Amino acid sequence: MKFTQDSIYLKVKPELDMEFGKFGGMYVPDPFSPVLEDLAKKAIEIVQTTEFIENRKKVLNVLDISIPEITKVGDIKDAEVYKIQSPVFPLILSGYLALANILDRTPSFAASDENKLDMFVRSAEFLGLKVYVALDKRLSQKTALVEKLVKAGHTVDSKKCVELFDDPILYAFQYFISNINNALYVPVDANSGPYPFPSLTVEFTTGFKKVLEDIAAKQFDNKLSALLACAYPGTSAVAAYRFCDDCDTRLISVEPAFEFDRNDCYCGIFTKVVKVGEEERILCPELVYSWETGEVDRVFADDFTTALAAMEIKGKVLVVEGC
Amino acid sequence: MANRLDRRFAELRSNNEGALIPLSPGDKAPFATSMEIIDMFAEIGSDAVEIAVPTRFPWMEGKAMQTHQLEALEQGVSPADSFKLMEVARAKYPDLPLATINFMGPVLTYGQANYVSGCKRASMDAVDIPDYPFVSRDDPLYFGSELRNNNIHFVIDVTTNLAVAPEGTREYKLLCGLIQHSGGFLFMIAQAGGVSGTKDSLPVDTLKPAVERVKMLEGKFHINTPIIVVCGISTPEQVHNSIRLVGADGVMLGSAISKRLQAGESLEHIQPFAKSLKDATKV
Repeated sequence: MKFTQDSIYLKVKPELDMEFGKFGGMYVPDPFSPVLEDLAKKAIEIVQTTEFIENRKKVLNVLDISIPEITKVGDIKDAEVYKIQSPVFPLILSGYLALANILDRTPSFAASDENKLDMFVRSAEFLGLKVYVALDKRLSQKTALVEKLVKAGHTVDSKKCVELFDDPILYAFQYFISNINNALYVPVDANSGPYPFPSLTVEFTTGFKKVLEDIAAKQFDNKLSALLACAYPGTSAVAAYRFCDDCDTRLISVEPAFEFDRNDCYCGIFTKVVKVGEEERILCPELVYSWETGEVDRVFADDFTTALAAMEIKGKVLVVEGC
Repeated sequence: MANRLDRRFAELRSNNEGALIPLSPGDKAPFATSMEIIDMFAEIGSDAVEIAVPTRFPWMEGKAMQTHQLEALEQGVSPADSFKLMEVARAKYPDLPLATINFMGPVLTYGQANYVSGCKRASMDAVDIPDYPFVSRDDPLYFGSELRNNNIHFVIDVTTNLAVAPEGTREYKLLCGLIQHSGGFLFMIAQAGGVSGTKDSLPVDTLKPAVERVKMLEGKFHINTPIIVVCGISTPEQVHNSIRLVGADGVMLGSAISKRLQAGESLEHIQPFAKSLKDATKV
């Protein structure tokens, strides 16, 4: 089933004044604030227009993204386990690309995953947009990929992550801020950036909340014992948990054991960084906040099955796959 | 005790001289590299020295400064190391105005209170945290006020675009607020997005009206904060023109020296170049 107009229409007016802190908003220098406030004002108007909704639907269609379906996994101890694939990435992507198209801005994207890069470029090209892409060190070394993007007329940065910080988010954001009137930062994998980006990212995921609300009511009769989601970076988890604001469902984030866990600054946001294997991973600040307030249980396990096997949960459990 | 920067700028004005404020990267104790660089800056007569605290998300820095940041992080340089360097530099140069540059995320990671007390211990004269919204969000964490209560200036940044904002606009209101809250010195930033890096030519046509406008507004508010140009300055001619043609009170530079260091030039070789930059503030 395709996403309908209703499932991607933003009925709630975005709260575009999220501060540095739990939502991950970063501070920017004083001189940039008027430009960002203008962008926020325009975004509020645009996200509620038919043109915006049509643009999002086009992107979701070209990516062949449908409303995710529930499948039953089986029983683990006393839990009856179901799973659903998170649609958060395409939902956020479609939101930002629709916005970029209407604002006539160049989307600025950080790529460290080839599949996500492909989805981004295909969608942008479908809307007729030329993009800026910062590639991480690994993708930068894929000469054919770089050549293909350049040949298609896109601006590709394949040197910075090799020569400097291996951090495409840094360069995608830097491109945006250096072209603040003509570019649009697309923070898909980390809910980062200054006002109004964290709020927009959250708003673009509301389609998933609506899907889950519908599923909880129709398939589980609103009797869902627990909802499990992946902790890294936590954008999907936070989007999924939001549907449970007023319900008794236990919310659980699952992550493998890590080498260290430190408070740090990343993407200009104050959050936690964990090292898993050789990789440093950044956690969505809102997820960190929900651990601290006790709204979400933090569970360490290599996968959902192991997590459930180690826990005492009775009744229906929904696992959100994809981060 | 009067802030060293205020004293220094008063002297410069009476001598009809501009200020040179170079930036030093930081390393680990015993600070072999960074203290040599600071020594060189002191020897050539720099009017103040900025000491960088490394950060892993230097989004307002260009290639040369990012390279320094990366090297420092790879060496394990922490904010605590940087504050120790500031203390060592202060002990050696009790009269030299010192400023530090960083971003707000690392300030919070280190702890705002720790950051302020680190600055106090080193008797810093100014703190440059460009991404702290001191005026537009009304000092939300009281960081600027806390520094100023300790006789440390919080450096205000103005971009050339903002400086020429038409009267009656929101931008104009912000500009007036920034000028009214300025102290120590004020940075006039010419690069798009504030990203650092050397430039082939000085954008006099952009800088001059911006500096004139800010000076005019300073006069209106009975303020006399020195204006320091930051725009990738890399030659004595650009230093001279920033002061004599643009009308700024001085220049700040980082990449011009950093690029030479990264190219393997020795400090003995760089020193005459650095001296020529300072000399250009006097002509």
